[in-house]
Amino acid sequence: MTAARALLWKEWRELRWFLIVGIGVFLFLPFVGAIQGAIMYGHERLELMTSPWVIGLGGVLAVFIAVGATCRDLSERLINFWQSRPISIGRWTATKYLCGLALVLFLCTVPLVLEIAFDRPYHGVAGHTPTFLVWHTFAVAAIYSVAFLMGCLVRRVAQAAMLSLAAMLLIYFLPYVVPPLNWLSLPLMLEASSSSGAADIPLLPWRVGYTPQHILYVLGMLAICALSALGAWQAVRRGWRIEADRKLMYWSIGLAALLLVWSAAYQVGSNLPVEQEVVLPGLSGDPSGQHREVLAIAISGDRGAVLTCRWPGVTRDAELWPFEMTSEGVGLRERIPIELPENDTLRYGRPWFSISDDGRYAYLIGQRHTMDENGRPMVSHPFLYTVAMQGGDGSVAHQLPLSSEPRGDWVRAAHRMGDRMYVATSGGNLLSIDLTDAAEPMLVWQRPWLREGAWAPSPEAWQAVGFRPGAFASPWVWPLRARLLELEGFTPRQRLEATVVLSGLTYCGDILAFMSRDGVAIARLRSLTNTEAVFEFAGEYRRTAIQHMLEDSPVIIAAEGNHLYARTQSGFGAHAVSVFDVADPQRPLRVGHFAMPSAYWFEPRVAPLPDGRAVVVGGDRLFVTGRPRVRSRN
Amino acid sequence: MISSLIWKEWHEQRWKLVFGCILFMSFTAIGLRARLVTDETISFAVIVMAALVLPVIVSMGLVAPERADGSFQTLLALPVERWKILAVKTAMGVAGCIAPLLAAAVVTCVIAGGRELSVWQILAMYARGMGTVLALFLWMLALGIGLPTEARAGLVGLGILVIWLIGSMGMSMNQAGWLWPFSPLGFLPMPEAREMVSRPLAALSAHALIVPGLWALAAWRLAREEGSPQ
Repeated sequence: MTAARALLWKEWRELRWFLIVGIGVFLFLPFVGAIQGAIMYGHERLELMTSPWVIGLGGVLAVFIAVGATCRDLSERLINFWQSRPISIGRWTATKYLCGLALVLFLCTVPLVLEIAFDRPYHGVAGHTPTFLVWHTFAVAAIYSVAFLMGCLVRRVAQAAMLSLAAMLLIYFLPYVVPPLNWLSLPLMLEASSSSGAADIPLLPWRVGYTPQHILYVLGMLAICALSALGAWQAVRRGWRIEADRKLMYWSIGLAALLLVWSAAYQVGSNLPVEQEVVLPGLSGDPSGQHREVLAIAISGDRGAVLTCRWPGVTRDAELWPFEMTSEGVGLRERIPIELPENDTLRYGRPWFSISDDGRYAYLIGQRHTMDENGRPMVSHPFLYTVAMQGGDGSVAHQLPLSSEPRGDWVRAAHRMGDRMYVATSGGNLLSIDLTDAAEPMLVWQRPWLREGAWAPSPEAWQAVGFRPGAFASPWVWPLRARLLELEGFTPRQRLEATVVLSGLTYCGDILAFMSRDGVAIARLRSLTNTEAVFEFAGEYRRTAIQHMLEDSPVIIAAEGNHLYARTQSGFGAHAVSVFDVADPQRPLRVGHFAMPSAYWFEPRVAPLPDGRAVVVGGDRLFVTGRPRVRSRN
Repeated sequence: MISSLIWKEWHEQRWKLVFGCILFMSFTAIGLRARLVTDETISFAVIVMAALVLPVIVSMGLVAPERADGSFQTLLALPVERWKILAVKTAMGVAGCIAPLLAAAVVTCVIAGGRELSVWQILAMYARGMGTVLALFLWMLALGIGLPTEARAGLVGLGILVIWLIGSMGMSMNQAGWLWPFSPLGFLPMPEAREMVSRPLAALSAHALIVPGLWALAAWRLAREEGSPQ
């Protein structure tokens, strides 16, 4: 028997127990589950689901194999024996490393191949299993290699296993959490492999997409393998050893966990200072289980108000919470309960309200339902209600119907400029309302207007593009042309602002902002004439992976100066507000974040102040947030 | 002699106490600063994490490592009553379990006191968490005191944890609800307003019976062991 065969035979004798355990966990248990499914749930075929086991436990098994392969033979009792044998250390270490690696790869690939094979006659290729098979294998190889190095350095089973598990956590999650390391992240590679821009890997029997990022990922994982194997060989050859006591173990794992949590929290946690926090009394915690939802916030000069509505239940039961902005912050005044007519509601479409310049009146847009004989809503129309705020009892002082469409209508957007208010309805009309007599707004004119006709390409086209990864910069969208609204007595820039806002978009200086799937896309005003504005693509802020995971459904809700305010909802249900600096449109930057656990389930509303602060309302609280940090990227 | 025992335990276990304090203070501070969920949820998550981690790592490090090193038999052979040795080790274990939670409670009060929960509500919550952590620690100490290695003591600790988690789920059913105060997890849930006093009191009363029993079991097992001749 040659030395190589003898070494292989020895490794086989030692590692075969891992093979048995691996087959038991990765194949036998899923097989039992498949049989159980066929018997208990009447599945027509055996649904072999090995991928959850391989993906969930593949890294752990790799750690156990690597530690088992190294620590026993490198213990003080045996290392002297091996050093006295006529076999080079390099050959011995390489045999050990490769045998273990082969076993890990076998156990992490064959069950997945079998899952694909079982599924193939029915669904072609089983879901994402081929993608897992290709990209997860490299991560497992890297974990095995690092654990092998740990085993060679530490040489004690429990300590090496614990340290390797900490390293496994870092290999799996640190690249996901830390943006500069995203190119090494397995979850991101799995996602990118299914994206539309990925090309298929040639010669593979299944369709698995790859991009240039995947090549970097593979090179990175192979580099980890090579460096770890080299380090292990040097550790054995030179007798390097780390005295890993309990302290080192605990601190390593504790610090690894802290690093992951801190990195994630740094990206999605609050960093805007809270200058003031005001509880809106009686807003939540009602014994009947009812809450009040914040519908809107409006500020006019140094006066403002929050509009709330009971939830769930009687939708016409609304309240105004007037406040004054003083040098100390927000001074909340007595709330004003609003009594709408019986079949009216303020919670419909996009809630909107405004305060008259003198602060005496609030203008609210609501909806009136016309009921059938059974008391069910048949059709509904929008109304503009004028509510007296000073000395008022909350009764509606004036009502103005905003539509008479026989099939019903609702307000898509409203915009106020001085003593004029413009309202765009879903029925395709634009209304001009005169607010000169603050107590009795008056309809001046009504014209047909649809935002779809005002923009080229159409808003539907941008949305389709915006939700394809990285596609916002695609040239066919740009330039974006807006036909300005014909509004007498206003400058082209004011008319542009009205056109953008009534189209449901955000305008901020000469910037047009879109929330795309990947982040915030910015368009810059290229030219403005009396009839038309032309925008060109300027730049995009790409959200990080952890922001993608924890901040869902981003929507821009306000803008002021160079700052955009976007609302997001975390996976836990809590809402947050992000602030983006667009002073340099080519490189928009996220400069602030305010997580709002108090706004659980209810969307927060923001009223930015000209000095950079903002009034944020959500749940039962009103916050005055400080200025975001100064733009730091050069 | 007692002071020597205290000095010895302090020197052996203090790093674990510092580790627990730093870890839990950091997690609490990060969670409360990030404010992704309510302060109550963050505090509860810290307490649950403490209940899962602290009793296991503290109980497995009190006796088993000394037994594995061979120094425990010498300790037993010293001219000091064994219950005193156990008392000192228990006190050190209690400190190792309580101090991190106390540190986390202080951090919570400093960062979030009066923000969503009052300081008293925060302290009451952490006090209930301490009850759970201490009850679990005593179960693990009593049942793991005779084990020869730290790894086995850790596995037994994990087993006790899993058994109590599953058992407590059963106890939370309606028919077995009266058993709930006997579970170490009986302290944990936030009581409703009408049970604010009665529920923690029921758990305390049940553990007033269980804790001395567990400690007596540990002392009895220790008394049966033979020490090495000096």
